[in-house]
Amino acid sequence: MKNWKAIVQLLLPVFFAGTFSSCEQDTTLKLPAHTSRLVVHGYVETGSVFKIAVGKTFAADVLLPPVDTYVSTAIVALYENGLLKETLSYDAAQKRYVSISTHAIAGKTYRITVAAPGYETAEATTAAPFPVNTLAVSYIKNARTDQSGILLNDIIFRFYDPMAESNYYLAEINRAAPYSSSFCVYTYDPAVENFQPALNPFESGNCIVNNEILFSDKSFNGISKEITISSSQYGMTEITDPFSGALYRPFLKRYSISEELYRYIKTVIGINGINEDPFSQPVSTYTNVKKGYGLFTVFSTVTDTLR
Amino acid sequence: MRTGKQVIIFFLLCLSRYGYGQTILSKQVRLPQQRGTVGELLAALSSIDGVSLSYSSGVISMAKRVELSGKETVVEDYLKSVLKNQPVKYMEKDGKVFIVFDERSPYKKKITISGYIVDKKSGERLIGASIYAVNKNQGTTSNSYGFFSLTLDRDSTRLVISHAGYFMQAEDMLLAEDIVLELKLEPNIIVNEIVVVNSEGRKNSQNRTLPGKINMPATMIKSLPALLGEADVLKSLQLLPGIQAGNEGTAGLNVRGGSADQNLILLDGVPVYNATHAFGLFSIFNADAVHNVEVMKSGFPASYGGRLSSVIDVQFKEGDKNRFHGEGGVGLIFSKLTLEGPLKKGKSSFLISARRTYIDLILRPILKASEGANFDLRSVMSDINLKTNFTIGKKDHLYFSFYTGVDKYSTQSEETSFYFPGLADSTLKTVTNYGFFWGNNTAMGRWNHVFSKKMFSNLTCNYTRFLFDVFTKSESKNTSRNFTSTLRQKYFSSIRDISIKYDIDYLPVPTHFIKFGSNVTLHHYRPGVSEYYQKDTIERTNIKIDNNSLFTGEYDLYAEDDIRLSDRLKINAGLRFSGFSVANKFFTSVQPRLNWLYRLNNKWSLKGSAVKMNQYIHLLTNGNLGLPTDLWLPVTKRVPPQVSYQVAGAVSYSYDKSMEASAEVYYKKLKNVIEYAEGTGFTNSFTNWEDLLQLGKGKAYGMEWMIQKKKGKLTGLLSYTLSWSKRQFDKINAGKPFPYKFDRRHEIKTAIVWQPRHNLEISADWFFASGNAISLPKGQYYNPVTATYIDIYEGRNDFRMPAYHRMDIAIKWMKQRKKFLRTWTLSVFNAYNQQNTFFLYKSNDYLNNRVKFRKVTLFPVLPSVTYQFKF
Repeated sequence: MKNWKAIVQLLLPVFFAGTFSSCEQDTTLKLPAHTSRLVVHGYVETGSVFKIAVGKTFAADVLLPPVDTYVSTAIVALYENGLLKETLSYDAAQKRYVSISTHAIAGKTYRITVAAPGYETAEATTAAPFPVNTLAVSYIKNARTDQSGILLNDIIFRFYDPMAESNYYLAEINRAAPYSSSFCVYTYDPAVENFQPALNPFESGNCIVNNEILFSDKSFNGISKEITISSSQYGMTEITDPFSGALYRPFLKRYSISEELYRYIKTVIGINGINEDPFSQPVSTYTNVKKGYGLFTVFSTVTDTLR
Repeated sequence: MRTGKQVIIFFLLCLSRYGYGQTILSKQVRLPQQRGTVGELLAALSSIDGVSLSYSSGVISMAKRVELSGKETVVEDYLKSVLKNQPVKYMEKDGKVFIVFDERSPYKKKITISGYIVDKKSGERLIGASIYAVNKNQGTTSNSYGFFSLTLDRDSTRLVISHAGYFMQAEDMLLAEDIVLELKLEPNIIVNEIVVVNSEGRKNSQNRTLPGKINMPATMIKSLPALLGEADVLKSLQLLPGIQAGNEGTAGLNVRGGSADQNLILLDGVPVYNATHAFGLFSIFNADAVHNVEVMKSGFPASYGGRLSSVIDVQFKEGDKNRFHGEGGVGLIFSKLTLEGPLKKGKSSFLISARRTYIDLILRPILKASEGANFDLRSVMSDINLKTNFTIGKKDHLYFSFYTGVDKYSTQSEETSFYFPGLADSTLKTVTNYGFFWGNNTAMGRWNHVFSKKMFSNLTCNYTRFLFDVFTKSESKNTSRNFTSTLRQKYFSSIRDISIKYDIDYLPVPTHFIKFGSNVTLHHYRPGVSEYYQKDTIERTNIKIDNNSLFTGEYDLYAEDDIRLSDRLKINAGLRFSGFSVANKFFTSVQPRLNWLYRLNNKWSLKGSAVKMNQYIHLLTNGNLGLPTDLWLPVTKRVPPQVSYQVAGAVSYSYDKSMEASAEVYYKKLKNVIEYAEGTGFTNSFTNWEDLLQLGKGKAYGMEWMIQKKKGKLTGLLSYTLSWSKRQFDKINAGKPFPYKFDRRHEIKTAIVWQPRHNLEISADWFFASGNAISLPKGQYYNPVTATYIDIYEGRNDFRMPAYHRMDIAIKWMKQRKKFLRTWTLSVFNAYNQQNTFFLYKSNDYLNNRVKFRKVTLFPVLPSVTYQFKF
């Protein structure tokens, strides 16, 4: 028995030392060798010229990417409804490939091909959606409160969703300011994508970023739809710049977007939603670029001032 | 025995050649009485001068009442009347009439021995005890309530009754008429067996009809080392091949590539939906109150259904019918006490068991010191089990069982602020309560009734409820201005079942054990109910959202037969029909089940099974952590029932009943399994959860080896599992199959218990498992529009975490005090302080311009001391 006591006396301090030792340490995971591919980004508003950024991928374990992630030696060809319209020229100042004469037109289909030495040729196709006009916008002050008792205003807008096609929308609410800012808005409308794990639509955890109000016509295809967004009162009244005399009003901007952009934004917001959760499955960012990454899309917008 | 009798009779017959001319049978006699039992009339006949009879109650039904016709004149007439319809013949030899068994008699009768097998000391009924008629080579086992029935030819026989942990008992019996008895087995408290024994008691693994079915007695659970010294039922099961722990340290179980929701966990026959405390660290089963745990991984008989991957049936003790006693303990996490004893000696008993953590008592002063005097922690983690049973006559038995368990973590804080700054009377005192709790309540009433010696029935009424609740309540008051502001938020989810089940066991002959029955369950699902209320001068908000609340009905019918086709071949064949009604939709399923066993010889046997299982419930889980926030949801038109098909085959070897080895292969196909669509991971009251899901399929296959040493001072087991588990969804991983999160290629597990002296026990276990499958980025790129770096994932779960391994050790010192037995246990969890990965995260190494991975470990080496007593 004496021996046991001696063993226990010896081992106990060791055990306690171990108990309070670090619970976190570096580990080595063998990642496969990375093969670089082209990355194509083009977000074009109808009526505008095409501006395409071409970049490249790099290894996952690199902290700071190579100095220049752009590829300036590519040949970017633009097709409209299947016909070659233009080969875009590289603008070194903007680091974009730009169309000289071609403007995006709603209803047309665009395809780009991107070829660069040392990379597989990438290509992407998108359809330019028509804008969907607003039928009515109303603005109700002090309509409700958030969880902290702060009064919220309701912005209610109505539009008619075109029938016989899937439509995708993105809305943003902007404050009356000379610059754009990011803030929280809230809604209990289930049509609006909400990625936050909060339980009450008006609590801070349920924040929808003001320029990420994303919805599709899945639940209201071909009918009139009214959406209510609640926002704090700050910045929601018109202001005049005392120096320049410029008048600023809050406004609602509604985008008609392609399915590609809708899926892309969903995955990007989804990534943000699970960033802190080590047990969630990671989200693959959507891409419509074949043999490459990124997104090529065309959109239309409608803007309504909030009064 | 019978041959011996025949030799004697033959010998006597030979002697009779030298007898007298007048026979006894033709002797004129007159009996004074005209009626009586066979025994009385034969005795009366024997008492007549010159009439000598030889007979045995072993072959004659002596108690049978007989009425004579009055026409009898000679002894033979009397014997014909008295022994009418008895399987005997008589012959006169050497001045004596011998009445002997007639093999050819049309009245040869089958005799049924039935009754209960009980623990001699406690009176508790024993499940799965073996009863074997030696000279008949026939036997049976007691059912889940200790009842047995064995029908044999009228004869004498030796019955051998055995059960693991009890001394074997043999009884010589004369089988003249049906026998009802209570067989009492003496517990063998000397031998400490760390054995994974099967439900068929003494029989070794060769005689099990059901592959993949194993029993784990409470003694084994309590012998193994445990996290913080708290013996844990579910974690002990993780030692068995094919049963994997989910995440490190949790009591989650993944059986043969299945998910945690695919386990039917029964507490005294009542399903429980979240069987864990402390976010999965401990199971809700208090090992002191547990009698036995039965696990099925494959070969499910038709009497079980409702889940795809396993049945884990945790049976609590019934309570000692003969004497009052108890046990308890004080550990680092829980203190507990279990009391049991007779309500009416030999007839009824009770068991009450309670367990409570006192971590809150330790944390409360610490938090008060750090957060201030106005902060209060109110947390508790507890279980209470209550069980009673009553014997009512010879044919009826009633059981009542209740369980309540809760995890509650709440805080209360007070703060003072100024509502209108600068005004002296604007002091605003705010009291905020925040907390969450979850728990299970179960209640069960059961009526056992013996219809006949061959038919046993069981009527069970169950209630089970699982509730998870998060709440915030804040109240601000300014008394001088008569201002009050109230904010209440509540989110809860619950599932509530009421069910009634009727089972019948019918044992017509020893070669058939037929079971049939039905079950009706009403489920009430309330996933993700939100309430929000705010009021100050006016009511600002009052919302209650209960969009997904749903009542459903589940209906089952089953029949199965355990058939002994020959001495070597046994099969269990059954069929289960189930239906599920939900929102004007009725799902049905027919599930055939077949298990077979072929005994090659006394040491080797082959087993196999083919089963279809159906599951009408889904678990929405994020991260597979087994958190109470996971939502149980019924099937719908869009999310149909999960289905599995499993085939398994096994070979087992037994040596001298002390060593056992087995190898088992399985292949399982899963249909309609669910997964969150990419980028979604939580549902609330406002979202339609069906929109968030992807429906897919899966498959799992592998091979399991296990070797056990069951007797001696050193006992233990060693197992190895080689397995694959995959999932496939149309819109995940580009439609390609990918490894399931808990797909672990290799698993090695071992446990040993060494008892060098009767008062000292040393045990250890060791686990090794390939790392969990995880998804890691294979590249990255810069998005110039959003100015962000985006990771590229090409395949789901295409990387592996580092392998997991751990050793636990426990040493027990027992000492018999004057009035009680005390045990000190020193246990060390993760004895060599292996830093096993709980999860990985990315970290920046600026010096080398690299992203590196850091692993977070949950449990370093954790020593603990537990004091236990038993009186």
